[in-house]
Amino acid sequence: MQKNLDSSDPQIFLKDAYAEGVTLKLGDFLGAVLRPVVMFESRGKLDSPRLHELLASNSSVALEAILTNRTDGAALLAIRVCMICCALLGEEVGVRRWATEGATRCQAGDGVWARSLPEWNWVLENPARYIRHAVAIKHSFNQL
Amino acid sequence: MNKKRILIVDDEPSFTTLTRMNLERANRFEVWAENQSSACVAQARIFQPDLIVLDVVMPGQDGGSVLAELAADETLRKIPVILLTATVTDKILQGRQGVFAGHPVLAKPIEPAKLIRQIEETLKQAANGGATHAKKFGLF
Repeated sequence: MQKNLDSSDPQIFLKDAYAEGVTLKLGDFLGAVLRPVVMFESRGKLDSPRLHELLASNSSVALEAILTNRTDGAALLAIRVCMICCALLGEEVGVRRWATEGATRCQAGDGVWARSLPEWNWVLENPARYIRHAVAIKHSFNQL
Repeated sequence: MNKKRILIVDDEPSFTTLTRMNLERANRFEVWAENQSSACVAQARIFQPDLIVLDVVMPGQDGGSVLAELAADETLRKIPVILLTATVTDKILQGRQGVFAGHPVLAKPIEPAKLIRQIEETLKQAANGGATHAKKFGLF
C-alpha cells in the first residue's frame, strides 16, 4: 500500500538525516553527488531497471562529451553519475572505467572539477569499498 | 592485394593481442597494436595506418583527447577512426545508428566478424570521400 507521507513524516525526517549523515561521513564527493541522484524521487526505490535507465541516459551524454573532448561540468557530472550508478548496481568494472575517465578528464577541467582528482583516485584505489558503501546506502534507502 | 594497415589502440593488452590475431587471420590487414594511448599519435606517424581502431576510456589519455590530437595533425587528420567502448550498450548505439560525435562506435565486447565488417565499411566510405574525424572537428 502506498504510504501517505508529508514533510513532517518521521520517515522523511530520518531519510534526510541519513543523507546528511552520509554527506558528513563521506564528504562532498559521495554525499553531495548521491543526494541528487539517490534522492531524485524521494519515495522511489533504487531498483535495477531505474538505475540501468539512469546509467543509459547518462552514459550516452558522457560518451558524446568524451568524444568531443569536453571537460566542462556537465560532462564530468554525467561521468560521475555513471560511476555512481555502476556502484549502486555493484558493477566494479564500470566503476573503474568511469573513475578512470573522470580522473583523466577532470585535470583539464576548471573550477571545482579541477580539484576533484583525489576523489576519482580514491575510487580507483578503493572500488570495492566504494561499492560496498553505495550498495549499503541503496539498501537503506530502499527500506525506508 | 595490398593489405590495409590498421592501428589498434587499447590499454588492455589481452584485447589488442586477440584483436590483432583475429584481424591478421582475415589475411586482409596489417595490424599494429598500441597499449599506451599517449603513444597513439606518434605510432600513427610511424605506421601510417589506413584506419585506427580506438578505445574510448583509457588511463592517461582517453579516446576523446586522442581524437583531438589526430584532428590537429595535418598528416593524420584524414585517417578514419572506429571507436570501441564498453561505456554504452548496443541498444543505445542502435538508437544513434552506431554513431557518436560523427564516428562509428562499437560496443565491447565485440565479435571479430562485426569489427571486420565495420572496418571494411568505414574504409569503403573513406575511399569514397566519406567523413573523417578531422571534418567532424571542423578542421576542413
